[in-house]
Amino acid sequence: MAITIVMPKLGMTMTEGTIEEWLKKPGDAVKEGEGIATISSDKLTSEVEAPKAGILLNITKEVGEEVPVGEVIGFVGQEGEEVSETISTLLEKKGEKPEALSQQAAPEKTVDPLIDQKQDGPNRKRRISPAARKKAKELDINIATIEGTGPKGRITRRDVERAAEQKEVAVTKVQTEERVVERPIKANNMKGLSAMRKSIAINMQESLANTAQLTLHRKADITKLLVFQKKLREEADQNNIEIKLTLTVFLARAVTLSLLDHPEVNTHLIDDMLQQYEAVHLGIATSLDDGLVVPVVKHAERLPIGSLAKQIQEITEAARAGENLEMSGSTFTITNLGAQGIEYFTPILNPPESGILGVGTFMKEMGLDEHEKLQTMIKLPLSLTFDHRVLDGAPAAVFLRKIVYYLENPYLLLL
Amino acid sequence: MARKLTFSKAINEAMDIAMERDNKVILIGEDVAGGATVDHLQDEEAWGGVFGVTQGLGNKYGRKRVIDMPIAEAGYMGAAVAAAVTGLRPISELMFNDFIGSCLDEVMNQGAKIRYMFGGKAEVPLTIRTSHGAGAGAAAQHSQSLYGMFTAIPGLKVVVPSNPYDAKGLLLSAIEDSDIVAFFEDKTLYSMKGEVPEGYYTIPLGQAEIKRSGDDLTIVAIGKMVHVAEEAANELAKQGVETEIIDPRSLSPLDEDTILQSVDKTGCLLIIDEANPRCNAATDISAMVVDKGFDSLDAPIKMVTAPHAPVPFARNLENLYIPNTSTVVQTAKEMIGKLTLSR
Repeated sequence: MAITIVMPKLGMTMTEGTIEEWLKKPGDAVKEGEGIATISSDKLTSEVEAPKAGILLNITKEVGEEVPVGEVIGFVGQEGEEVSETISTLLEKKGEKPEALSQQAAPEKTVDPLIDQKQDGPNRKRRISPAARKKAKELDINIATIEGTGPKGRITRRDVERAAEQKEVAVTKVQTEERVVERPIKANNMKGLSAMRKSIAINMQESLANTAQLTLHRKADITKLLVFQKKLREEADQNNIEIKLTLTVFLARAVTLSLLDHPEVNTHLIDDMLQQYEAVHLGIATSLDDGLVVPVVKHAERLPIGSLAKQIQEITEAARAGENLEMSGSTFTITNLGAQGIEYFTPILNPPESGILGVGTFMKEMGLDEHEKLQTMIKLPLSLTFDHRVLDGAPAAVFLRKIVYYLENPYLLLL
Repeated sequence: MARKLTFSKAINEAMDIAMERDNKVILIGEDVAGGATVDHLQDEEAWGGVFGVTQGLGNKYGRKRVIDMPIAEAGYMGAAVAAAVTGLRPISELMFNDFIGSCLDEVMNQGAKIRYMFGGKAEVPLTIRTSHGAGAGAAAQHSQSLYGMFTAIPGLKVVVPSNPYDAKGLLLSAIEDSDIVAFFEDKTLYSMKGEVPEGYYTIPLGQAEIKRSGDDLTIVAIGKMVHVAEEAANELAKQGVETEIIDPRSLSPLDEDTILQSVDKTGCLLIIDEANPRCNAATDISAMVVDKGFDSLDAPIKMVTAPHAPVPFARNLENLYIPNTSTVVQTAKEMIGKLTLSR
């Protein structure tokens, strides 16, 4: 006697499932419990198992078709059995005459999960106790899948509970799979992550997961620095020296000098081994249209301010042009959100570095000078994230104060 | 070691305490003293009731409060109802519950209706003590268990104790109750001994007792059947089935909540009732559970009762008539799933 394979209900909310793949072709021999097809719902991917051993006679739904729960997707029976025969037997079983329904309508007929396919005769009705039925509803268990161990094969509450335990194990097994096939609700333009996005995602996630990050904030008075920058630019112009003396250049210089003064910040912590560097390789976080890269200025400590300016300009322009650049090996990173009007933020460490300086937007403030006279001051907010596994708050604060000191005494940057 | 009394003595003690505490409490019945119309026994106690349950009370409280009656149930039951309505608190003894037919009008159509028909202004604080149950070789006319009949009548309360302790506490509650309470004493339990505290205590009517806790099966057993249930539970425990036994103690009012909670836990209900199988307390409880606890059920409710037949006189047949342990165990096992049995 051929029997139907139906779309199973995998979750409480599942109303239809999609055939992902037919694991067997019509004519293939199947064992009881063997996977015949892979189907997926909004949440789960699962295999449809052969309800009994035999031959997969026919499949009624193709890959990609969305099929309501309980609807027939195929038939399993004995060799040589005709599907039309199967349909008529199915209908007979349900007490309906085959001619009463058209051939097309027949396979659409949903199969009552309470009909025990393994049994013939008037006792085919699957026995289930009221308590078991209620429990199955609560635990979202498809009663068609439960073996009854009560008197006369009745499904009892304990049978449902046992089925639920087994299902839990099964669900755990497919969970990894589940994540991949998960469909976001109403997402347009679905696409995978770009290689850069993936790498950013992995790095940032790892950074937060594996380090003890803490961010200190303070402002530097850059009134003098801006005067100094203006003066330097004018003189460079007058002498036809073509360099871009941006604020980042002065910041890079101040950071380099501070790192030389405080080499304990210029470190990598790798596998519990702390490596301190004499060389300062500065990462300059550079935003692109579709991501972020951190090109590196090698040996910044060897570069006077003019060379530093050139280097920074070169690597950031190259990065924006999409050129292949050395992106690793930096010992400290500077990231600047000032152009976007951000003041303070909490930069995420660029592992395995121990520190990253976040630069905000400078602002005019009222303040008192050394003669207690009201002055307009220009303040630059700085955010230093450091790895607390390597540094404590106080030395990190001393380091940040040193940066501020250089910025507030800009002539020192020339030394 | 706590004091042990027989079921009979516990009931005697309850009446003694009630009569001591309240001189409105009187005893009316056949042979409750036992010397009526016998000249030389006029001031003596000959019987103390046919089972000796009222023994000593006649001498202690006098013949004005312990009143022997002729064999005329309709007459003295009518008198008892009237005495109750007019201010006394009588305890009338119906020697065998099988005799209710002789005085059913007084109980059912008068006593049970009075409070209702007088708009609550009249009370009938009457306790009808009566004996029931097979097993004493008392044949078809003295062995029935008719508490189901009483339970069917609104206006009556029905108590069926299973042990001496409950008998004393429940009888004191019954006597203090302002409605007619039919108090059923299984005649084969009279000699049963059990711990009974001295002095006054009551057990509220309508409060079941969980005699044993278990997760697999609920047995509700009435009166003496509680002991059959306990034996069966011991048997079942050997086979890994944990039985919860509930003694409803009073059938009207019935402690539905305790039964429903237990069935919700176990999913299986077996009711043991010595009464005949049609329209008895078991069918009543079964119907209640199907109505209010359908979703708790893991198996059809089973009832182990006497057959639909009069109680036989022949000992061997009488023994077969009364629900027994092996029938209960067998029925229980038919209800329980393989999964439970295999645990």
